[in-house]
Amino acid sequence: MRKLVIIISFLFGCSMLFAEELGFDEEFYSTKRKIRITDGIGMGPTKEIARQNAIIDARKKALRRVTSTFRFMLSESKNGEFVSSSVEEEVHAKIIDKERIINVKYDHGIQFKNGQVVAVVDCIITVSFLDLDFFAQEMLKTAEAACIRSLYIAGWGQIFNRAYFSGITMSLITYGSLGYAYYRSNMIEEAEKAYKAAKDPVEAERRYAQLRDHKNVSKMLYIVGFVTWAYSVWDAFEDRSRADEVLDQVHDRYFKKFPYHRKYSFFQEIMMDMRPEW
Amino acid sequence: MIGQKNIIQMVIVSFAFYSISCMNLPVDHSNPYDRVYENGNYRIVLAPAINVGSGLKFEWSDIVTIPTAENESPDNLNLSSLTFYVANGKFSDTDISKIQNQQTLAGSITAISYGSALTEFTAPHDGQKTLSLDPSNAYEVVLEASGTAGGKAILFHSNIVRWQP
Repeated sequence: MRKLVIIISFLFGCSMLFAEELGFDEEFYSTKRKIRITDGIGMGPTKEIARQNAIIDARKKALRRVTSTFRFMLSESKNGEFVSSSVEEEVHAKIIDKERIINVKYDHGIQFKNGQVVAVVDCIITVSFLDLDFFAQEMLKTAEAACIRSLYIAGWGQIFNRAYFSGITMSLITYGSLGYAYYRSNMIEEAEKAYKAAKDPVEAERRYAQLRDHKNVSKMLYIVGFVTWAYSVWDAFEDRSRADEVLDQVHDRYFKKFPYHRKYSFFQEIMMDMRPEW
Repeated sequence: MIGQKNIIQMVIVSFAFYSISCMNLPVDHSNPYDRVYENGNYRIVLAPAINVGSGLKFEWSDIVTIPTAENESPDNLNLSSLTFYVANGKFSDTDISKIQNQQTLAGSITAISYGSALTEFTAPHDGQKTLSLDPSNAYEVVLEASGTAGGKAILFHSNIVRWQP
């Protein structure tokens, strides 16, 4: 039984050690995304120069495409035209890997003047950027939603909070413990009968040890399972609440155009008052 | 990144799990063939028999209260009889049922009564007795104790000891 508890403690410890320490860190929240650009266009006197120009165009397009959904939030516009070109800088968008060329096309059925060559490149470009779409989605999540999810299924709240390792570990511990406890508790009745029917001191002692083992293991694992489940509910709520502080920072910095005042729920206010100063 | 919060949480949880692992839940010893046996508020443990040539020597420890007994102690237990019941071979199911239901054993089994002057009748109740039994035969032996505790009549049995030649 000790071994079992050591394994559970180890898993639980790992889930806590790998739990993300929240804090607004641009590097931490950076998203890597592979973008396929099929229309990188470049012109030049030779095929190689045209190809290089097409790649430069593809890279620009990749940066523009990943930031396109939140361009409106960050750019200033005048007469329907964006006047600020600082969106990529603002969200630290950068190309972090060499582009992978899929195809380069030179023949378009048109002869260009002065013998210029036009290249159209199809390639995959890896871009890193601060994903404001992610934050926008996160802002809509509430602590109660995380809490209720964990109440239904242990670990779901953590997965909802994007703490995947913690969520899966807690789920495994909870349902593993409860499942095994149920399995062992089903063996109690049989073991009790065998113990009572034993007509030999040695057998009686052996059967007694088995019965005690079944009872102890099942009760212990029921406790472990339900305690972990309760912890998962509390942790989901707490994790979300702490994430809210980070999201407020993000909002103040990036989403000023959208007036937003976080309303803390009754439970959140209670939890905030009760929260220890870690 | 490991924070102070993670460490504190981990220590708390490890401590909680360790406490749970130390929990040893009591399970009733309800089989008279068990090394210890409980069927009432008192427990008397009879040790395995020893062949002393002239017979089989039995030894038992002091009587203890089972944790379910409230406000009772072996000190206020007034024993009026201690009787060995010996079965040649094995006790019958009827006898075992009587032991489990705290009823006086009787019938075909041999009763070897103790004299009332014995010191074991007052606390501490531990003692020993050599019974004139042929060690070359198989027996099962149980010790029955009766008396009063807090004005109420009580009867309880020890575990059954088996002797195999």
